[in-house]
Amino acid sequence: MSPATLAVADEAVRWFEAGDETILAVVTRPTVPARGVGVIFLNGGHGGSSSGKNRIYTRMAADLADRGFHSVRLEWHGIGDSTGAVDEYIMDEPFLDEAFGAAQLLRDEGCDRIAIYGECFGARTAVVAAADMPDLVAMYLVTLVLRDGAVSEQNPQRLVDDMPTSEFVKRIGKLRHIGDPKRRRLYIDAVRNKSRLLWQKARYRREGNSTLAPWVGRQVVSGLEGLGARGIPVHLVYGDSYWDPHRFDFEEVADDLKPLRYDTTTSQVLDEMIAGYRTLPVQDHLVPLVGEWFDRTLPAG
Amino acid sequence: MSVVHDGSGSIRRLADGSTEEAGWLEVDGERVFQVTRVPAGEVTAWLLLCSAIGGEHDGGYRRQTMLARELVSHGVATRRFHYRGTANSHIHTTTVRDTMVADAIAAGRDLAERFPSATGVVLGERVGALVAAEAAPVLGARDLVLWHPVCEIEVFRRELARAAKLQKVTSGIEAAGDAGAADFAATYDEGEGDLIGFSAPRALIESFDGHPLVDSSPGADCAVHLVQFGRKRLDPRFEKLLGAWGESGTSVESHLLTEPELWWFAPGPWKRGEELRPVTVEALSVTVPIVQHIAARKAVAS
Repeated sequence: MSPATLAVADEAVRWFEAGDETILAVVTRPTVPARGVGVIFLNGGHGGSSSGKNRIYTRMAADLADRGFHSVRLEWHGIGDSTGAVDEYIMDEPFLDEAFGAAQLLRDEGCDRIAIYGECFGARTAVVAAADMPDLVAMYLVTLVLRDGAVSEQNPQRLVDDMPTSEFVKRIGKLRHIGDPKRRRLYIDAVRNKSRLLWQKARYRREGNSTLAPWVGRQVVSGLEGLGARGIPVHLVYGDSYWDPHRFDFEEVADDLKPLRYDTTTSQVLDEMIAGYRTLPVQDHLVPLVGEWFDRTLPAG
Repeated sequence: MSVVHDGSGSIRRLADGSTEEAGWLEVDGERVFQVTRVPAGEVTAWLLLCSAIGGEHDGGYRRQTMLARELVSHGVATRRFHYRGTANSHIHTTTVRDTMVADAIAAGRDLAERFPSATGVVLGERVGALVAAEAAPVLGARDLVLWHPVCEIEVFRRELARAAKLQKVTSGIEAAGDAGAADFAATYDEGEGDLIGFSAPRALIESFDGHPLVDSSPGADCAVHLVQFGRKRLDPRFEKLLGAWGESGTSVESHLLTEPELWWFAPGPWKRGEELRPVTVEALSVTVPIVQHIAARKAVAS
């Protein structure tokens, strides 16, 4: 299906307030009879404008419009034309106000059901926001990051996780070059990460979830659990390349991640590099794939 | 802040009385997305920003927003726009030099008609410089600001191949180095070069063949301000360009930034916020006074 040619009346720019910031969003209206469902695109924070990398969200919006869906794409605060500043995306500090504001734009357009397409940080925001969106009906999540912390902390976290506590103590105990501020910060980060893991491990054990890896963020577990309990279809998609590290995380814990037991929660590993939409073929593949999934999951009428 | 929705567009009015308007213009029946920042008081100058393309467009987007917001307090109305066939503009246009120049002229003309007593400035970044230099005389702009312009499309094409080599290494795509360059060349030859997910359409690049920047002479009535990103000495290509334009009576000046830009490296979530990037801070610290001076000159003259 070729994306629709959108006319002036089919799209509208909307500024909305989220916390202290003003967010720019583009609302796309259906080019065929509306289903009453609006899809929110939550980006992974790649910069640029609301159109996404190589205008992937503009294309998805046009494709969904052709299928009867409303949609909204936005620029996180500190990105594009929105106000504010952002230094780094911390996975366990999602931008909820922006997701809620975007949902309200769709309700204002007459949508009585909301769906979300989220990528990376956007997927994390979606999972957490879901609890406060009673009209949510479906979620398509690309590269959902399971770990907490900043993007730049993900790899150091993996190193710390893989190291037994005894070895960790042995190494950190030497405190080499502790006078160097950079090295000192590294030590502090490592200790903080390790403490967080030990605390989370104890917590999961207390809750009868002793086999779940402690680095899986609690927001992810409770968010997916809530979605599953509500019977909301959730589709998780990961890429199949060395540069899709979150896929390795997902596969490592999939058997222990209880929310995945719900029939409505499905997952898929595509034989491509998905993270960051790094190739044109991946983008060409994803646009109809996403449209078809929403089409199938939320049929018209 | 108050927001007024005007059809498909939206205007937000800030506490200082200035406004930010976003929406679409129509060019040849197709849509051009634009954002315009308008000062509260008298508008002494208008600035049209012709952006770069591909990854460079995404990489420079926030910097342009910051420039527009900075200039509003100096009485400058600034418009940014997306070329048809890119970003939030008309989806099915095959973007080529002619459509890009037509978009710039339409966006600039609308601005010039709205602020007829203000002096016009056109800014072009990278490939956008080739567009800006062509549009400036048509729009009657008195000043042309160029951010590290692409002087010849052939040079840009070679830069793309080099970027393919490097980016494929840094982004981890298996085909790195020479293999990465070959991979890019193959997709480019087929019609659309793939640079880590950014499109480099062959038709677009080739549409600039035979149109070097030096041929788009802005004329004696227009002053040129070239801003070079990085390097201690002016690039010989820029020197040659300014020399040729200077000889034809154009007033020319150059500004060298110490901070380089990683062209084609679009920002990722792992990078620091644009507001904190030294190259952006320096680019604004040089460009704002240039435009401010132009606006002040106009204010004195009137």
